[in-house]
Amino acid sequence: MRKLKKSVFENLADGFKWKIETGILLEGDKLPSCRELAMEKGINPNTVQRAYTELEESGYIYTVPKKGVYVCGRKQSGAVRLAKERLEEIKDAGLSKEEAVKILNEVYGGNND
Amino acid sequence: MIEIKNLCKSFGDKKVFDGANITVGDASICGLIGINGAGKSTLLRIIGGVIKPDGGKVTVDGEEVFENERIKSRLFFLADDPYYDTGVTGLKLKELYKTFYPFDDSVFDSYINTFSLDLKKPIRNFSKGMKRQLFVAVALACGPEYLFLDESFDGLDPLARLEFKRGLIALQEKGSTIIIASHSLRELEDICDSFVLIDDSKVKVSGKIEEALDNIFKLQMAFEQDIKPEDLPVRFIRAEKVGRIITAVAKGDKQQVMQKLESLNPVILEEIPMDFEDMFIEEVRKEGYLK
Amino acid sequence: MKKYFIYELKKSSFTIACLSVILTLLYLVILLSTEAGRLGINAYTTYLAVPAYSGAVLAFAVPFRQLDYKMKKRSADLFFSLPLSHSKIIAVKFLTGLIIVFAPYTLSYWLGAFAMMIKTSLPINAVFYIPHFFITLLPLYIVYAVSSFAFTRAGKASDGVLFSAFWMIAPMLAVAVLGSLIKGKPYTDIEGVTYLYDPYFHPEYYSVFSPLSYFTSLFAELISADGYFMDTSSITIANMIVGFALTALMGAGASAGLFIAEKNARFENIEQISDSLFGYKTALPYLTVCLTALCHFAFFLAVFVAVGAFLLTAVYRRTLKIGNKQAIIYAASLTAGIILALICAYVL
Repeated sequence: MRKLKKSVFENLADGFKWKIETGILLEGDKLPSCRELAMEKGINPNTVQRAYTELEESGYIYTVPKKGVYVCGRKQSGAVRLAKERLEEIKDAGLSKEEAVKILNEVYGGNND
Repeated sequence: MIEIKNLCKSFGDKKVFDGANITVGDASICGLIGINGAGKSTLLRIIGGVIKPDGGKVTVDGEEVFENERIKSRLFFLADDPYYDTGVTGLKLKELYKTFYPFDDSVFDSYINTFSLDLKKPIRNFSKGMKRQLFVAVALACGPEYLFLDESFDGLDPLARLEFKRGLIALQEKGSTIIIASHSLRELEDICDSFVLIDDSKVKVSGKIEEALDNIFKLQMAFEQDIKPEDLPVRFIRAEKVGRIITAVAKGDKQQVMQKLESLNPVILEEIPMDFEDMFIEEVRKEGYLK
Repeated sequence: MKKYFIYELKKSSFTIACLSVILTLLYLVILLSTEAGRLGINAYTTYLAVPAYSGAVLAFAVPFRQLDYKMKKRSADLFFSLPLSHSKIIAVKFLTGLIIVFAPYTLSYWLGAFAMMIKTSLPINAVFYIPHFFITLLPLYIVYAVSSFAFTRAGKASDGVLFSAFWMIAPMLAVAVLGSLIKGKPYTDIEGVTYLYDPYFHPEYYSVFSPLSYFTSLFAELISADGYFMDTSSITIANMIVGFALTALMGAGASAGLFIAEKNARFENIEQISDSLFGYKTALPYLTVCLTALCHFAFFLAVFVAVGAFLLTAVYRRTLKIGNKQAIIYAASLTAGIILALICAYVL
């Protein structure tokens, strides 16, 4: 299912997911506190908190009480997630598997027929 | 806590409020939305003690606001087009507010520096945006427990808006409650945790923004057979059909609705995401404002 | 409240200083540019009248500056949301305004008086300056209070100015009409002079400004050391006393009314049509009837009254389509006025 516009907390959460998946944020990296992030972006702290809760529940980050929020470690690669998402869209749009593979080969180059 | 029970207010023959109920909890930032003329400014004036309600109860921390000096010293109402005497400079304006509110000079000065405003110049020479910056600085420096803002984002540049939002968050952290009436729903979505939508002299929807967004959703679907939206097993608040594609808005349990529709083997069934603005349009559209 | 009063005073200090300078200069310029010796007694009247009348102008106009915060939604948004009750705000504004009137008046009065004493060679009973000064404060206050009350009855400032002007002359008009009705009974005074016009009624003593003017004339005579009141008949004195009592009552009523009405002041009336009983509702028929009746000596003047009354109605309703109700009131007042004028001219 596609999602074009997202709510504020989803955008925030997705931003962190992407950074963690692509390795921009590494295991053990400290995230800004809820307050710091709210202040930086001008977003309600409750909304930031909700994004953090969502990230924690899906295992991207963990909270050390009174110390801060840390990255859990690399999850599924961002590229894999992106590829899945895009391919699902393409499939929905009606492209057949054969055609898709053809395009894939063109994009990656080489001669694997 | 702000509690409004069964608020009624008429101006001549025009009923602005007819039994509105609103509760805004402590330390929250609440967005007040509604179409032009819905009564946002009137509501802020009523909670700010400027207008006396005709009926119902308007209380802040359990006390009625109108003509109540004690409660009013804890709240601050910033009008849409704030007043200043002709010839008054920023410094004189500061003096005025200082005589009524606990004024934090350091907060004020820091905003004045950020916005680089000249306090020695008469305010009438300021641009519209600069006036707003000045008044926002005044409001934040007064650090009220209750802050009521009428369209205070308007005319501010993106940087000033960010500063403003930061200021509001800082105020909220100190336990203040803020109500902002605005049409900049994107800004509200960022800064607010709750909202109140006024429509038709009443409160149409209110609550947490995220929950309200979870509760309303828009779907696009098409089926093998040509089905009219009315014949679907789901009650939509609005549906339209173009060719075989049905676009519909529903409220309630998304999972349940999706399950029901999936069982009909749709060719397409997808959710079209809605943000705060979309929600606003859908909520108000039902009432026939937009056709 | 005290803090706010100090703020208002500080904010008005520049205005007070400016007005003081202007009033003093005005007094001195008039004083130095005329030759008191030649003008004799009348000079004192003129010189005393300068501060008195400039004071009256201030007393009439300062309320417009002080109280117009109630006449605009923008300023009411501020003042009604401040943590101070409506009554306290108006009290501060009213008191500050009083100082804006009295401070420049006092200063110009005494500077002028000293200049006068130095300049002129006429005999002077300087001690009478003191009672004159204090006595004029009262009629000045009355003008200020009546103007304040009348002004704030309006929904917007321009209406308010008209209301103030109306109440300044309202009693005078009634007395003039009354005098016209009773004329025709020729009256012969003690000295054998016969008056065709009724001598009991002197409308000129019944405007709210009048006490200031006749107190000033009376004291001019005292100060100029003549020691007697020039041709002041007992009838004139009676008129003065009744006139003063009337304006004093108006002043007291206006002062009380201003604060009582403030309890019911509502934001929603601001900038709306001025529907107060103390405004057009009373002023329009009253003015129409009185002015038409006074046209008894030259009926064609009634045309001007008719046109003026119509225009004022249009100003009141803020449209030229004045509506049935207003049209009836308009026609009825004009008719009543014409009947009174006919009675004045032919019956009595």
